[in-house]
This record gives sequence, structure tokens and C-alpha cells, in this order.
Amino acid sequence: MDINIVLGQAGIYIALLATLAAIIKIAINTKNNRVQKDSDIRLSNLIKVNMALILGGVVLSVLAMEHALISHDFSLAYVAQNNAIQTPILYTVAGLWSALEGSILLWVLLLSCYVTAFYLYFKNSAEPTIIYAQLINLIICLFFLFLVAFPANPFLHVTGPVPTDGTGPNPLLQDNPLVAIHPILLYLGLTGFTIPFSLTLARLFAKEPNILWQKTTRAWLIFPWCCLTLGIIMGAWWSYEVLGWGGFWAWDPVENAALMPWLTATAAMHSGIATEEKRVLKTWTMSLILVTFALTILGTYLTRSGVVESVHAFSDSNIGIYLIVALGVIVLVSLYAITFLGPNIAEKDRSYLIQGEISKPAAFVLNNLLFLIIGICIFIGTIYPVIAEHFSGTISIGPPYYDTLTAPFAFVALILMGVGPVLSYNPIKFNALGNKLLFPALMAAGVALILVVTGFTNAVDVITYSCAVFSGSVAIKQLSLNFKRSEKSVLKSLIGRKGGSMIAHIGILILAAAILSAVTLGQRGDVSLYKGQTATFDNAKITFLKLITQNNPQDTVTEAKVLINNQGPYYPAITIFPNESQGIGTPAINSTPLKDIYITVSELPTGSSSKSVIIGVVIQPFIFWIWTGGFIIFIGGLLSIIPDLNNKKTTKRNLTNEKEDEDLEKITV
Amino acid sequence: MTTSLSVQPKQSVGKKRVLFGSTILLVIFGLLGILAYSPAASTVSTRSPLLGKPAPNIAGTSITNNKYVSLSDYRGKFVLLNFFASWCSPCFQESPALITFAYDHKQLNNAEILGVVFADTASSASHFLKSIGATWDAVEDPSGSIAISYGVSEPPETFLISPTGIVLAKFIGPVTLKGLNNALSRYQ
Amino acid sequence: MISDNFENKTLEDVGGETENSDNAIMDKNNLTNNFVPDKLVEDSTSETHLTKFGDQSNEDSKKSGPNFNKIIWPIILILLIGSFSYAYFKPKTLTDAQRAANLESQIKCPACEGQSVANSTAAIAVSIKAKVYQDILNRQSDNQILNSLANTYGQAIYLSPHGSSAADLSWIIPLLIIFFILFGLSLTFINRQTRFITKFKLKIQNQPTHRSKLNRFRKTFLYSGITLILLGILYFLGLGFGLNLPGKAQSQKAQFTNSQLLTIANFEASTGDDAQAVSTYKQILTNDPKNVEALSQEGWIISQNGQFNHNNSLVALGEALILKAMSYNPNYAIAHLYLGTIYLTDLNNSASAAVQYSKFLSLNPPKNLIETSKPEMILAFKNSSLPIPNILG
Repeated sequence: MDINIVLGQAGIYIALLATLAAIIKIAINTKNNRVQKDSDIRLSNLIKVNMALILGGVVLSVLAMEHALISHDFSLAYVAQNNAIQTPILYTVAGLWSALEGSILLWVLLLSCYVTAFYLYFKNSAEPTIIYAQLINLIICLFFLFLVAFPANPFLHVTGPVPTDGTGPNPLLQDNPLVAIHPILLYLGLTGFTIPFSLTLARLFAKEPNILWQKTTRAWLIFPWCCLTLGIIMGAWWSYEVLGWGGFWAWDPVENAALMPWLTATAAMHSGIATEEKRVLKTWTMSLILVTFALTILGTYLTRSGVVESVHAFSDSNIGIYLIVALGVIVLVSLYAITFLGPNIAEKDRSYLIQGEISKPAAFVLNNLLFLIIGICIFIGTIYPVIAEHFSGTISIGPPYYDTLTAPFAFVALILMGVGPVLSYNPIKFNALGNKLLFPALMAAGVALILVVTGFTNAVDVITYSCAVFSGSVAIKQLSLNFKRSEKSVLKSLIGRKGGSMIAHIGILILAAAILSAVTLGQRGDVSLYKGQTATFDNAKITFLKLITQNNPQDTVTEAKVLINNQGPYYPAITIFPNESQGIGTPAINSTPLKDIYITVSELPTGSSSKSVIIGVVIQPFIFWIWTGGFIIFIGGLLSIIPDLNNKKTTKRNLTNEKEDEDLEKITV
Repeated sequence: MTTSLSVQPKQSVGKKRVLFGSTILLVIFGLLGILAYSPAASTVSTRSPLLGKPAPNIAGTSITNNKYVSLSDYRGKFVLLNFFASWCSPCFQESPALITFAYDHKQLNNAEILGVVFADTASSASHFLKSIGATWDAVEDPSGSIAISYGVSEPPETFLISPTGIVLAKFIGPVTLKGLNNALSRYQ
Repeated sequence: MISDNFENKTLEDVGGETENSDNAIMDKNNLTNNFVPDKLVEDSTSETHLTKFGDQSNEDSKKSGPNFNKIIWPIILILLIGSFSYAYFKPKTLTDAQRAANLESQIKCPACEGQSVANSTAAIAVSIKAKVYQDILNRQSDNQILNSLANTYGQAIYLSPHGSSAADLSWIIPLLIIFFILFGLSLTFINRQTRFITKFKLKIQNQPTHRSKLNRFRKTFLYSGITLILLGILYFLGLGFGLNLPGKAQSQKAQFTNSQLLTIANFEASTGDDAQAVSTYKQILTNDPKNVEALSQEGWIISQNGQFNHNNSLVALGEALILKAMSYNPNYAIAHLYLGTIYLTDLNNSASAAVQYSKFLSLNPPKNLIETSKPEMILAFKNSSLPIPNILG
């Protein structure tokens, strides 16, 4: 018996049993409300050993898998399918998440890290809410451990003799180092939504009135959101660098699956501000968090069941039905909680919403609606072909559909980004709002005018740039106010929600303007070149020097040596596999902050007919700023949660100072 | 004070609220049910819109014997239109079935095979046909226009065309002898 | 969802919110910090009333300086809307390559997993791209190109679903949901406002009027919403039954102006695609039955085909069309040239041909036309033993 298999299996089973034991312990202790009566029951007393065993077990099996990959232990079916002796070390390590079973193992690892972090943060808490939340965390953990242990076990022995070499990962997955980082960030985001979900459900079920639910949940929601944002952007970057068509987002069902929870989480973050500061929109924020988690499970299902047509999907598997059942349970529990327990969570003051005034909560409501509408359109577009299949013929839903439906709402959201930050919780008069927005609007109008006068008449871009300038100048103004307020210390002014959120806004605006420019102003075409010839495409000089062909046993790689604007050389390549008509192209990119020149080998000279090579050229402006915008959002998000980390672990409201909990009031009625 | 806090007044849950919640629940469970019973996307294939319609004509020089062939010359017999390429391994897989089919029906003189080269050069395609022992004619399709007129995505794809020139059936992926004969007997 | 608890609230909840947000600091920086929160103040009898503040704040703004709002905002809005609409409505001509790129991104690559042919290098995607470009050069409309592909690949080839009821539904469902969200939200606002006023007996001047006004507004809103939904459903049903309603996708060819169509048709005729050219001329004539140029061109092509196929009725039809053109405009030179040539070569009637030719020459035709038909004209004049005009040398 192989040591890697034994250790890996052992790790999973240890973690599984420890989780089960922890769940039983908490369940017994919470029975008859013992937790509430006996203040000595803390998380650390209950499940200290279990938590160590869970994390230890999972880490052990991950290490066993990595060891098997690095030592090319082909007795593991997973290694034999996803690794080969020549696979470079980086892609060998990344082999852990390049196929379905391993990716669930990574999911479990990150989930158990989150659950452990939650435990360490709250280990001295005895509040029912926290204990219930950890119970829910552990149940979710148990489900994924079950998947790894049974239907998607990566530690299975190969059937038949042990091969001397493996098949290696999908060639697309050993092309770019981003493969090593993008899935981790994405999963850090998706698994992270477990904690806000469990805190929300626990808050509803525990019926504990004086808990600072939103304050506690905030950082646990924003950190995964940051990771998810960067993960999505890194994924787009990977597509751009690898897939060879010069695009970065294709509205593919798997891409949508990551975007949907991002949208609802963004909505929840915004309405959460109102919840935290004024205790309004509480049930609403809770619903959004529950929906976010359900959408991450839906995304996992869509990616791993093969029901949708996608370039990024994992191979078909049998775990789809488990995920569907889990999703059903989550929906049922969440809906029950919101419908029947939601009324216990009263809003503090609804006058903000009632009168539809111009105030911050009203802006949050509008923001939430926009994100929700965009999310619903994407959801329908993703699911509809699967549903329609049952009732009528096959139909496809692709980029033109999503662009048409979501773009108008995205533009309104961009404008709202400029209006929201200047509003306060006090309703404001229309005139006063006009005064506040006078300068930004003037800037926007100026930009629009200058663009049109200089002959730039791409309507979509004109609108995007002026929206970006409008909202961007508001964000900068807010930052400068923040700077004055925090005794002119740059660091102090940037840290915290007010600073961080404005930086994230600026990042979003850069991202939006860059994406729109790249999409609408991009030029694509082919140039046909003989050896030594130069062609000009959209002011870019492409010189083709020579072809370098390399025959490998499993494929043929042909590189073209190309100069772009006399710089380089660049080596776009095409890899041809024996049983495929289409080669896999590896693009080469000349990237500058102003524009990217992206070249691929489209067609090799075919023997006798001609000796020219056809080089595909894609020239798109501002691509660099898409990735930069993503980083800025990530940094902004992290900055905004820094103060939460210093907060001592107060989950209880200080009743002597603030005697205004909503539930408290209800009782005094 | 603290103990009294944990006692919650019983909240009445509005009828509207329950109705709203249960509607959402039904819709979501309906969707989940449909999802659970959906086949994998890779196994779903579209019904060809050409079925029951006249087959688009094909004409050209055969790569096997340089004779001029046209689909309309085959009227009066069933035609098996086979899109293939030398680089496609499922095409190699299905070749025994096609060879046997061609042999059987040559005796009966009621069906013939016509090959269409898909994204391949004439020389390697004719070499491929020789290597599998095929005797039927095949035409080149360098621009892919024949493939597009038949709605072909990837070889091998095979169409059964009636003696009157109507498309009867479409096979996606490698064909089997049984499948071919079944289809033929259904329409004979 | 949010409304259910409203009745349980005490009035203490509603009022007494002291605003101490950080924004207050920002407000101080603002020169025109002139607003007072719209406060609900509790009075001794546990009734609330709205304090009127509007006039007061207006006075404040007058004190703090001239109100730029009323001057600058309209200018800003005019500038913004003007620039956007100029950019949007400025006519843009798509090059063939741009049209091709646009179409390719709307066609699904049949051999790939959810990618468009634009993004794919699969063999069939390359062939489809080539076909699209070929069709564009052949002056096919976008719809014709897409439909011809859907005829062989099925509706799934469209990435932007259309052409079947399932496809239409994929657009209607999200639009309906969006509509219901916005409609429901507005209704909730209005309901709340009504209930708020009736519940707490707010001391507003002319309270009953206010309430009935609100009620009336609420009803109007509700009914107009329902009417809108019904109209929308009727519209889509109408589209489904094939009615020609505004907004229905039209073939792009219909959008060309007649002069554009003439250029296209002449191009088609010059490449020898007579059938296509004739159909384009017919299209021009449906738009404008008295188009002299289209009539004579069509007649000319038809008579030439008739001569080629020894079909005298086609020649006669061509002649009739040209005569019709002449009846609309007797001074259209080219018609006389065509008619002359038809008389000369098809009907062997040199005398009539010479009459038409001399008419043609009398109308100061372009030099190049004279040059190309010079031999026929000389022949006609010779055969009918008339003097050859000086212009023919």
C-alpha cells in the first residue's frame, strides 16, 4: 500500500470524524438552551481538540497529495491523470486544483482554514449566536469532507498496473503561472462566504437580541469579497494570456457562476453599512448574504456537474446530485429563517425608506436593486438554456444577450457611485444635492464635450468616461475630506471604511473605463507575412522573422519569431496535437499602459500552396488598467477592514452606553 | 434585565410573507429539480434542421479517382454522406462499420457512401481512405462550404439521404453498423 | 417584506434620531449647507407632525450667496445630453470588416463549448468566418447571413437568442422580473406613505385632501402599471402571431436608401449576378415605382437575358419597362440608348434604333457612354441611311 494514499485517506477520515464529533458535542450542549444558561460553555472548552484534528487532518491529506504530485507517484489515479514527469514544478504543485477531485480538496482546505480562524477569533465566546454559527460552519465542512471522502475522493489507486508516466494536466493549465494563484484567490472568496452565511443563520435561529451582528459579520464578508474580486480579475487575466482570442471575459456560465455571488455580496456590503450604522435594512442584508452563499454552491454545481456548456468546466462527475441536494437544503433553511424568524429582527427606523427621500439608505436600496437586477439577468441567462432544453429545442445565450440586458443598469450604477458617497443619513434637499454634485457634474460635462469636439464619437465610451470622471471626482473629494478629518495623515485617512471604500470605488471606475475602452475600441485582424516581411496593422508594425518548429512525442510546437514595432522578439506559438484539427495557440503580448498588442499564429504555411504565415493581431487600449483596477479594488477592500482587525472581540452591545437595540425596544412596548 | 431580554415576544408572521416565501421556494425547487434531471451538456445534441428537407447538392472531383461526382447522380439509391478527416481518430474507429456497410449494399445495389473531406488536404485524406480500404468516392471541401451547408461541426458526422434526395437521419460521432442498418431499414 | 412590522412600532422609534454622522463635518465644508433634516417631532399628545422647513432653507440659500444651481445645472445637463446624443446619432458607416467582426461575435462556434466563432480557431469556425465575409461581400443582410446558418445548424447558432418562442421568452422573463421589481418597489413606497399618513394622523394642512390625493395617485399608479403589463403582453403576442409591429426586426436591406440600393444593384449587375441585380431593382421599384433609372436598368438586363436565351417575350418585357421609364421621364438619356440597342440588335429595326440614338445624342449624354456604344450607333445610322452625327466622328 502506498504511503501517500494511506496518509491522504487517513487525513480525510480523521477530519471527517472530528467534524462529526464536534457537531454532536455542540448539538448536545446547545440542547435545552444549556449554552444560554451556562456561561462556562465556551467554544474553546467544547471543540478545541476537534478543531485541531480537523485542520490537521485536512492539511495532512493536502500535503500527502502535494507529496504524491511532486514525487510523481503515479499509483494515484489523480496524479497519473494530472501530472507527468516533464511537468514543471509550478504546474505540478498547481496540479492539486487542476481537476475536479483535487479542487474539492483545495476547497475543503480553505474552508477548514476559515472555520479554524473563526474558532480562534471567537474561542472564548459563549454567545449562542457564535456557537450556532460554528455549528453551521462545521455542518458545511462535514458536507464537503463527505464529498472528498466518498464521491470525489482523490486518493484512489489506479486501476491496473502503475503507469511509468502520467498524461499531464490539460495543456491550457500549464501555460501561465496565473493558474497557480487565480484558483486559490477564487476559492478563498467562494469558501469565505460560508462564515457570513453561518453568522446570519445563527443570528436568526439564536434569537439573541443584543448582538452586534453586522459589525461582527462585516470583516468576514469583506475579506472573501476582496479575494473573489481579485480572483475573478486574475481569471480574466489568465483567459487573456492563454486562450488566444484577445478577450478576457466571455460571459461563460462558469465565469457567471463566480460573478453572481460577487454581485450579491457587493449589494450586501453596501446595505450592510446602513445596517451597521442605523440598523435599517437588516433583514434585507441578511437575505442577500444567504443568497450569496446559495449562489456559491450553485456555482460549484454548475462548474462541476457538466450541465452547462463551458470552456472552464471540470469533467462530468457524479457529485452534481449531492450539490443539488445541499443547495435545496440551504434554500429551504434560509427561506424558513427569513420568512418565520425574520420578523423578530425589527428595523430600527423605516422612515428613510418610507418617504423615498434622498438619503444614504435610499442610495443603498437603489444600489442593491441595480446589483440584484444585473444578477437576475445573469442568472436567467446562465440557467435558461438548461431549462429550455427540456421544453423546446436547444438555444444558446451568449455575450450579446448579457451586454444588452446588463449594460443599462451598470451605467446607472456607475452614476450612483458618484451620488451615494455625498449623501448622509439625513434626508437632503434636491437643491443641496445639486450643490454637492455641481463640480463633479461640470467635470463630466467638460470631458464629454472635449471628447465629442475632438471627434471621438463612440457613444458608449463617451458615456463611460464621463460617468467615471463624475464618480471618480466624487471619490477623490471624499478622500481629501477624509484626509483633512484624520489630521492630515495619509495612512490614517486611507485606512478604514471611508478611505478603503473610496479607493475601491476608484478601482471599479478604472476597471469599467478600461473594459469598455478595450471592448469598443479594440481592433482585430490578420496579417499574412512571408519571412522577413513587415506589415502594418492599426499603426503597429509586425515583422515576421522565422518559424521554429519543435517536434515532441505528444505534440508539435511551432513558434514564430516576430518583432512588434521593431521591439522584441516575441514568440507566439501554436501547438498541434495529433488528434485535433485545431492547434492551441499561445499568444505573445506587447503590453503598455496605453495599449496591448496581442499576436497569435493563426495559420501556418501549408506545405506547397503558400509560404506565408498568418498572424492574428488584436490591438486593444488600456488592458493594463483592467488588472490594475482589480488590484486597487482588492487593496481598497482590505484597507476598509483593517480597523475591524484591531477591534477587540466585542459581539455584545454595550448596554450601558447604547440602550437602543431594536429587540429591546420591542419588549418594552 | 439580561434574562428578560432572551425572552422574545411571539411574532405573528404575516400571511403575505408566508405566501411570498413559499412561492419563492416552489420556483427555486422547480429550477433545482429541472437542473437535477438535466443531462450533461456534452451529451446533448441539436436535432438537425435539415432532417426531412432536400439535401444540399454536392459536386466536385473525387479525390480517389479524379472522376466528377455529384450527389444528384446518386438518385435512386440511399446515400450515406460521411464527413471525415485523416487527423480524426473517431473517423478511423468507425471505418470498419462503413467498409462493411459499403460492401453489403454494393451487393444489394441500394445504398452508397460518399465521403466529404473536412478540414484536411486531399492527399492525406485519400491516403487515409486507401489505408482503411475504402472504395467509395470522396469530394474535397477546402472552404468548408459543404460542411456549413450540412450543419457539420466536427468529424465524423454522417447523413443518410433518401433515394429522392431527402435528408433522413444525422449521426454525430462514430457510426456503428447496427445503427446504420437500423436507420436504413426504418426508411426502406 | 419590510412592511409587516410597521404597525408594531411605537412612535418613539420614528422620531428623535439625532444625526451625528461624519458627513456633518463634510457638510460644514460645504458653502451651501442649508438643509435641515426632515424631522418628525414628537409632541406631548403622542402625535407627530411634520415641521415645515422648505421655506426656511430657501431663505438660507439666498443668504449664503447666489444660487448657481439654477444656472449651471441646466447648462451641464444640456452639455451632457447634447454630447451623448451627438456621439450616438452621428451616422457611422461600418466597414465590411467591422460588420464581419460584429456578426462573428453573434454566432456560436458549433464545435466549441459556448464560444463565438470570433473567439475560436476550430476548423468549422474558420470556415464560418470565411463564409460570413464572403456573404458580406455578396451584399447579404445580417439577418440573411445569420438565418442561412440557422437553417443548417439550428437556432442554437445564435448567441443572442431569437427566432423561436423559447428564445423570445429568454428576453421577456428578465424584463418582466425587472419591471415587477421596480413596480413593486414604487408601490410599496406609495403604500407606506399612505399608511404612514393615515396611521399617525399627521398634522398636515388639508389632511383629507392629501390622503385622497395619495389614494388617487396610488390607484392611478396601480392601474397604469397593470395596463402597461397587459399592453406589453399583447405586443409580444402580436409579434408571436407575425404582426408587423414597430420594433420588429427588419431585414437590413430594407434600411438602405434607394440611391444606396442602386449602387448595390449596379455593382451586382457589373459582376454578372443578373438575378440578384434584378431582385434589387425590383426592391427599389417597390419603394419608388417611378424610379426611372431602376426601370431602365431592369429592362435592359431582362432584354439582354431574353436575347441570350432566344426568348422574345423577355425582350418585349424589357422593352416595355424601358418605355415605361421614358413615359415618366422622356429626357433620361440612357433609356434611349438602351432602347436603341434593343431595336438594333434584338429586333433588327435600324430605323427605330437610329431615332432613339439621335434622341440619346441630343440629350448631351456623358462622353464615356457615347464611346462604348459608338459602333452600334454608327451601324444603326448607316443601315437606316441617315447622316452620321458629327459627335460620332
